Amino acid sequence: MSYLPGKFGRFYLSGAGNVEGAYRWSPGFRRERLDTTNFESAVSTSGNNVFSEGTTGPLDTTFSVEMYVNPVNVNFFFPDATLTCSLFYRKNVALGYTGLIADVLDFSPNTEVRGVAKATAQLQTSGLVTSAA
Amino acid sequence: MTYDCRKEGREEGSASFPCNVRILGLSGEKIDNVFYARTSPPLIGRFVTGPDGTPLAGPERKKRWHVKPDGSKRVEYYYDRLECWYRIPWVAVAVDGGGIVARSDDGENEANAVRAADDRIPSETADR
Repeated sequence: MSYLPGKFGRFYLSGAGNVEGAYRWSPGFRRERLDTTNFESAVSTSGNNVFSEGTTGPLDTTFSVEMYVNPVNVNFFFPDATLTCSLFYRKNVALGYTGLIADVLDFSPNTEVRGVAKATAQLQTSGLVTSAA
Repeated sequence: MTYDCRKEGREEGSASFPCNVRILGLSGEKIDNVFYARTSPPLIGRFVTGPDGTPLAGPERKKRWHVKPDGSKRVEYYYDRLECWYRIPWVAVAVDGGGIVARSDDGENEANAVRAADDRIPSETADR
């Protein structure tokens, strides 16, 4: 079986080579606003501490990856596995996210006999997302 | 008496301080980022920040329902700030002027007893 190149996303375990087979990922990055109101915040005329706008906290994102099922190391994408992901918008251009630690939440392979051996995995990052360059 | 200034999830029946206050421990040390203070038994809640002042995230993901515009719901896992709770006596001092606005109740002996009971390790109890 031949795979499309890791053009947009690369997935690997520490010390291991790239996990082959992934051909599409759909990112949905989000940052959480964390409330920083405390008793030292200024008080409004109604006597309440003025609520802060909040500061942006850590990224926490779930994204899905579509792939051809790797016949050698299918366990890479099984639920409970943890991978490192580098997601680039363009091949060889450091524009995107790199070195994300992600948990595999869900792995759903195509189970049709005549179907192509594809699968979709849901990944969630560990909360810290590093943007590339 | 409970003071709470959280934006979301504010405790029912809690009050606000009449002015902005600093929360101090009994020995006068300042406790930063306090958002919750209860007088009896004494309890304060604060969130923890990193060196740059950004709140740190808690180690565990929390779960909530995210409602999409079309009305469908899905479970969303997210990180919340890291919060710490202390059962220690406290004093609220006005930021302007420094007068004491409120303090935890004087039932400190009782509070200490409760705290000691919680902190006691089983072997100590067995010796008595």
